[in-house]
Amino acid sequence: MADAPWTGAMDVSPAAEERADEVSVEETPDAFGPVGVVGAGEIGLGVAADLALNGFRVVLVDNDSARLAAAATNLVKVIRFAPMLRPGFPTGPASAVAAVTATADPAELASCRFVVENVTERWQAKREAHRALDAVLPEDAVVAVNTSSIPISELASETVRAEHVIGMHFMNPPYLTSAVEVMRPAAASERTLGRVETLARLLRKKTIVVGDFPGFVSNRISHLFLNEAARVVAEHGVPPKIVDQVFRDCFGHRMGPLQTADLIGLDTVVDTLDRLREATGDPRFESCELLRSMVGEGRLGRKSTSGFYTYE
Amino acid sequence: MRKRKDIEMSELAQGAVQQVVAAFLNKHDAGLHPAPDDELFASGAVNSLFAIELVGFLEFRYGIKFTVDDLDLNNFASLRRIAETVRAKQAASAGAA
Repeated sequence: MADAPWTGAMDVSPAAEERADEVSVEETPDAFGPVGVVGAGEIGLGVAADLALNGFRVVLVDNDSARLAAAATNLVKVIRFAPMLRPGFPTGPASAVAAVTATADPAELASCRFVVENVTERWQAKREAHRALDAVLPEDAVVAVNTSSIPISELASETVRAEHVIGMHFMNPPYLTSAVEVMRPAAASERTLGRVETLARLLRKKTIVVGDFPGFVSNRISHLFLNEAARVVAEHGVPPKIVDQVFRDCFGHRMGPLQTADLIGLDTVVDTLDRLREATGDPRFESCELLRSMVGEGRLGRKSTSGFYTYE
Repeated sequence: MRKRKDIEMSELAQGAVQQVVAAFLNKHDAGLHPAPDDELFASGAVNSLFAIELVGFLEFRYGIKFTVDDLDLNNFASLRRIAETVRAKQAASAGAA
């Protein structure tokens, strides 16, 4: 792939314990300061909700006016269910909604020393977003790239802040997951990793640090079986709920692969498979025809009215 | 005091809600045939995320809107609890109307 080459092998970072004494133990969300969330799509809203429910002030930025207009309503929908599914948030739903400022103007991020970037999984879009961030952020602001397939090192090298750029892969919905996959490129500083660990701790999450290679650990593996599960439906006529039942009841997975694909969004699944196909050159990541045709028909999963399942 | 006839009506209505919810669960997972008092979430029969779909379905089907206080998994723990929660919500909105 010409415009987003993966370089080198895995960058192994030192174990978190070795840095534990450098991390401020008593830091609060207030002291941490407002957190910028760029991208008000499915996962961006989820990250904003998780931050707000855990006591952070959030500046949510999106340059798509339709998505921004829908953000307030969608945020309420996400936040509404959080306390039911994971009790114990320090901030109630109404205050959490009020803690999020939604805007189209990236300049409002100037007060943020930490930004989670959730722009769509396309290289050009990500690169443009990071250039826009360089223009407005404080010099030492940390930018966490929330991605499941974009190379962090390459993106970081397009910015003026390579030592402050790191990957943070939130699973959906973020408020319900107890860990975040962290991709640390070679250029990212100890301080940058420390800020990520502090933020994660305040979100009641563990960090699992992996290298910066295509798909990281999570999606390199999961997207193969999401794709294969769709193929089993297409080629053998197995109903989606039967495929999922095997994973839940036989393997003890919390969710089956097709439920997971619906939750991620089938458009994002196809985009991620495309990125993996380009980055690895491996035809195993070629997304199957069924996934592509469903995306073409607007059947994107839970965020639309149907995917492998229907949603009311 | 409620009349016998009202109580019978209410039990009938609760049974109807339970049937509708049982059918919805069955659509989600063909192997699910819970008894009225079987724990749905605590037993792991359904994933807690399924609560979002269930609540959305109930609000759409019965034209009700749950408040944040209503959204407690205990209110949706079993078919019987779900039916009680729906009926209470319907009664409250009828009273308010």
